[in-house]
This record gives sequence, structure tokens and C-alpha cells, in this order.
Amino acid sequence: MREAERRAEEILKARVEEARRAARRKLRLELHRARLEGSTRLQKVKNELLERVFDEATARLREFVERSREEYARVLRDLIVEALEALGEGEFVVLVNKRDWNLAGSMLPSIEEEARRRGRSLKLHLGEEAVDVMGGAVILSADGRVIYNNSLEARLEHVKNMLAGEVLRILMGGEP
Amino acid sequence: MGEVNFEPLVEEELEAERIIEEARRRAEEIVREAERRAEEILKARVEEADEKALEAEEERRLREEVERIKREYEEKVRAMRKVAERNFERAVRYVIEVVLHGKSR
Repeated sequence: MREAERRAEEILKARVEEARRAARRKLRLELHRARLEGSTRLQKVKNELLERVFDEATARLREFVERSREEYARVLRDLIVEALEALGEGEFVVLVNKRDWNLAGSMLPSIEEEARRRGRSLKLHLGEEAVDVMGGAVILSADGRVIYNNSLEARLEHVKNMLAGEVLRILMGGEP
Repeated sequence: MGEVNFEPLVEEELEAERIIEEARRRAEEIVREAERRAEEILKARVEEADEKALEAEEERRLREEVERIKREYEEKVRAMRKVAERNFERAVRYVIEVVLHGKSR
């Protein structure tokens, strides 16, 4: 009888201890979860803030392209030249949106001329089909095998992918 | 008168004393055992109470820690939003500048 009581007590004690251990494990898990949820939330807020910056930048770029045509013309020329410098020499097709068609067409001869002066041989054609971008240009090699997307959207995407850390640093009060 | 034999009486008295002594000894033993058991029980209860207090303390500490972590991250989020609000314009201008004139590609 005594032995049975002792065993019963032992079992009870072991169960109570196990329940306590489980409760402690649960609390530690809660602690871990709180940390994880906290850092996930922080990351979400960072992404949300970055998204706001890029949304605002996109809206202002669109406005800039529509309203500051003279300044934008200089930007468009720089973007075309930058792409051509990356592509090298040869024959290329320059694609722009419908609104920029005349603007780009008017600057291609002077870009060819400037390249010639620098000893580079370039032959440029304005693509007949417009591309659906807010600004900038897409340059294709004449055989269509090489493409350089220097549209404002592509450049924005590049900043998003490559410079998000720098943008975040600025947002948090640092330098890029 | 014949001589009285006191020997059985003495023996009975001695036996009675022995019984009384034995009873006293047993009684003392019982009291000691009872005291020992009482002490054991008391000790066990005190230990149990201490243990429960410790567990409650640990549980409270862990719960407080969970709350503290939650508050800490909420505070971080608030602070982050505040700083971001102040630097929003600068960040937007940086993005536009790199998109329009950047040479980092």
C-alpha cells in the first residue's frame, strides 16, 4: 500500500514537473516569437517606407517628363548617349515613347556627329514603334541581339534593386 | 503470625514500574516521531512554496520580457517612421537624381 502511494506520488510529481517544463518552453517560444514578429514588422515598415519613396519619385519623374520638356530633353540625350557608350560602335535602333519620338529623332544626328568627332562610328535609327515607357530610351543593336534598356522605369527598377540600402540610409538620416 | 512474603509484591511493583517506564518511553518516541513528521511536512511545504514562488517569478519575468520586446519594437517602428518622415524629401530627391543623372550603372 505504501509502495503504491509512493509510486502514485512519484508519477504525479513527474507529470507536474513535465507540465511546468512545457509551460516554460511555451513562454520561451513566445519570447522567440515576439522577437521574430518584431523584426519582421520592422522589415515590413522599412519596405513600406521605401515603397512610398519610390512611388513619390515615380510620380515626380512623370511630372518632370511632362512639364519640364527642355530639361528632360537634356536628360533624354544623356540617357541615349550613356546607353550607346555602353554598347560600343555599330548600328543601333533607338526606341522611345510616342511623345518623345520627335524629340529623340531631332537629336540622333548630333549624337552620331559627336561620336564621330570622338572617333567612334555610330549609325542610329529611330525605331518606328513606340515603347510604353514614361521616358528614357531603349537601344537595340541593328540585328536585335543586344538591348540596353535605359528607360526611366528600368533605371528606377535598378535603383530599387541595387540602391535600396542607400535610400534607406538616407531615410534613416544617414548619407548614401 | 507467620512471616509475610513481600517478594511477589516487590516483583509486581517492579513490573508496574517497568510497564510505566515502557509506556513513557513509547509515548516519548511517539511524540518525537510526530515532531519529526511534522517537521518533514513543514519543510516539504516550505520547499514547495519556494519552488512555486520561483516558478511564478520566472513566468512573470518571461511574460514581462515578451511585453518588453513587443513595446521595444513598437517604439522602434514609431521612431523609424518619425525619422523617415523628416528625411523623406531627401530620399525622394536622391532617387530622382540617380534615375536622371546617376552614373552608378
